[in-house]
Amino acid sequence: MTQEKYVLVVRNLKKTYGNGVQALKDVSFNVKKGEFIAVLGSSGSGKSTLIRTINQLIPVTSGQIFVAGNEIQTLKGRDLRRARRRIGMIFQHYNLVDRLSVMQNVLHGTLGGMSTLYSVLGRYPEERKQAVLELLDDFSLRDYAYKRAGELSGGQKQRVGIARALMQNPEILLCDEPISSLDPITAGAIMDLLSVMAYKNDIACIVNLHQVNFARQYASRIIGIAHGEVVYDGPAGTIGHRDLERIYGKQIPLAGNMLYSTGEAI
Amino acid sequence: MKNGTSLISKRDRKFFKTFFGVMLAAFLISTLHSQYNPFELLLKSDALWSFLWEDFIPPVVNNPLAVVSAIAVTLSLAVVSTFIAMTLSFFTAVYASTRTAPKPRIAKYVRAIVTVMRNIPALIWAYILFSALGIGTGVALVALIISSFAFLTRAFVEVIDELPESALEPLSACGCTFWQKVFHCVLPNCIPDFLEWLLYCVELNIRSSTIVGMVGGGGIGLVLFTFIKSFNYHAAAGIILIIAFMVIAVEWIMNCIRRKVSASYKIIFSAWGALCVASLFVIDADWGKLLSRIPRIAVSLGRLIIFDFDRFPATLAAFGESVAMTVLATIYSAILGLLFGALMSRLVVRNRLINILIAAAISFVRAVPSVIWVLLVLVCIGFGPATGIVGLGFHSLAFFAKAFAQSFDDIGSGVVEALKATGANRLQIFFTGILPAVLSSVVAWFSLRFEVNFADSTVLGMVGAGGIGFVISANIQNYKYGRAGVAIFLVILFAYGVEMFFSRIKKKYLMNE
Ligand SMILES: Nc1ncnc2c1ncn2[C@@H]1O[C@H](COP(=O)(O)OP(=O)(O)O)[C@@H](O)[C@H]1O
Ligand SMILES: [Mg+2]
Repeated sequence: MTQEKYVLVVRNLKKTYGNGVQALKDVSFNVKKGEFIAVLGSSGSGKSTLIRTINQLIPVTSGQIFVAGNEIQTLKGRDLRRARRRIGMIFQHYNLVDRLSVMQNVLHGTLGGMSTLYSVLGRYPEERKQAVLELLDDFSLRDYAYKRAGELSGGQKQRVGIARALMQNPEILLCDEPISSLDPITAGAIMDLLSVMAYKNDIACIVNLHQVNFARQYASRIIGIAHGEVVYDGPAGTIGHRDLERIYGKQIPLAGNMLYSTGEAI
Repeated sequence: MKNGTSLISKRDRKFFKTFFGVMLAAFLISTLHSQYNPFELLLKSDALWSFLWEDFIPPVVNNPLAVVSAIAVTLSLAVVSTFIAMTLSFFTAVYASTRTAPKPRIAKYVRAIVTVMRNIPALIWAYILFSALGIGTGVALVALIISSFAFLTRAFVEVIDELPESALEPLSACGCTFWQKVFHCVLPNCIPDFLEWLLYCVELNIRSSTIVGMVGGGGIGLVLFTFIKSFNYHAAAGIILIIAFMVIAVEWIMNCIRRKVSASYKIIFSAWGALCVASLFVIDADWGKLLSRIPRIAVSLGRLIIFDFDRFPATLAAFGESVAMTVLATIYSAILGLLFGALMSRLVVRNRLINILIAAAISFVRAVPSVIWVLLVLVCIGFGPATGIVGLGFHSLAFFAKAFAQSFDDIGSGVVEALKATGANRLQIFFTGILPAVLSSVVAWFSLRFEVNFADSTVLGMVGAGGIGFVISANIQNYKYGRAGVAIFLVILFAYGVEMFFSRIKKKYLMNE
């Protein structure tokens, strides 16, 4: 197999939940270094399941997932944690520890590479702390470094979430509806930040989205999922009405009506 | 963290310094004062086990009929006392809340009196009343009414204080009288919160009535105490199991009411009222005599206030013993409570079997009142500071484990997933994610339990363990009311100081700006 070209290879991935729901039925695709992919699909089509199996937050039923050549679904314990360090993750609800400072939340991104004792004592290496401060500078969050994460606005929280993921120095970023809880203007700013950071650091991005217009604007490639199957995989620029109908059925969330929706609105 | 870039704000650093500084100092002083060494218990644990194993197991129940009637008395005490206290508290609370009080100046005094009353544990009330009225179930009822009155009044005042101005304005504007306002606005708005506190109060009173029973109030507590005093440990073990079962059953019923409560307040309160009437027959007391002697309470309280500072150093030493016991029991049990809470929480330890087994053991320990645990430890390892610390700590450990497990579960899986995704291991996730997320509620539970443990530590002396409780009960029994008064005053003062400390910490550091 020619995996060197790809940072991620997904082969015949199947996931059946304990209650019998077939969330993914035979999904395969390859991701090149630095590629920016939007995953589209209506609610319940299996987008979150797909993203969560890639870093093994959810175990697969069958199939293979290669992350930089390693077959991640076979790994356990320390090896699995090491593999996860190369994959950053960004969440719809940010999943920060509200009580901790922005600084501490971003430093969580470095936990994978630290000894347990030192991280429990909060003794992060000085150069990591400096790196965090620089990153916060880039994200115009420097003044908020010592604020509690819970006191920030939604857009600021998501920027902290992105900073945390970037501290891992990842090769892949998995983003599960990163803008679904944000207003359209903040959402645009977050997508801008995400694409700039991904481009600058040559990180492959897989972003679950609900907004077709954002997908067209930011992604180079779109993967469309319906009922656990890939029904479209191609360039973002040339995706047509037919393709969207195959992904969404009749109710296509186009710019106008979807721009202001939040959450799982479809 | 001393060198290099800081991780947290100045405010947070100050919190950690103040809170943990005070705790560490209290811990060290208490350890030096009581000479308590937790590892001693581990060394003795063999003897302890064999004692438990041979003397307590198997538990036996000799006279089931007598046990049933004793339980009926204990339950009746809890049900009736809460009901009567509720009525008194409601009328007091509308006078004491700043929201509703017709005369704000009076409100201030009422609140002060209630604060003083609240910091006197039920068992101390029982002792004062037994000396004034003689022993008996009726007197135990009065003691429970007084302590629940103080508890409920404060709770009700807080509920009424939180009523929004907008809820009261329309009625004030249309010229309603005070009582119209109370019954058409305050009561309907507050009743769900009131009920919440009432149910909690019933749960507390089940344990209190067991304990008050031990020193002369009758009921299941007295049965247990008799068995322990006559070294009949197998029978005692049987009673303890029954008490645990009784408390768990009551908590289960209360939870059912909590869940089913919609608009059926009338039904709940009518049923409760009917139950009270029935219970009055179970509580076998000479009501006429009891009522005629009520004025004597005032006389007793009057005698307590005429302080007598004779033997003050001894009182102070006993007080120090109680404080040290409280500090050590609370700190040790909080630390262990984190461990057991983690084992109980599905979010932290993903093993259903471990979760459930630990949870079952914890609810058993929690169901038996802490004073009973102290008694058991007392018969196992004899006198000494360790007795109080281990006994109190045992129940308090179960309390913390349950509370912390709840807090862990409440934060949801989001943070855990996020940290897992960074490649962090289980310990890192627990210490850098889960624990900080629940810090505020851990501190809140800690302060709550510290107050409870102090109240419990002051009554231990009355059942034979050391501390200030012994000074209080011995002096009351010998009619040295002035000396007992000084001791009770110390208890109130310390309890009040602790309350102030924790509420300041919470206001200053833990609430969002
Ligand atoms: N933990 C789970 N257990 C059982 N079924 C699940 C679970 N998570 C998701 N599902 C089901 O799997 C399907 C795909 O869900 P998901 O991946 O969350 O879709 P999406 O993110 O596209 O909305 C849905 O039918 C959903 O109900
Ligand atoms: Mg989803």
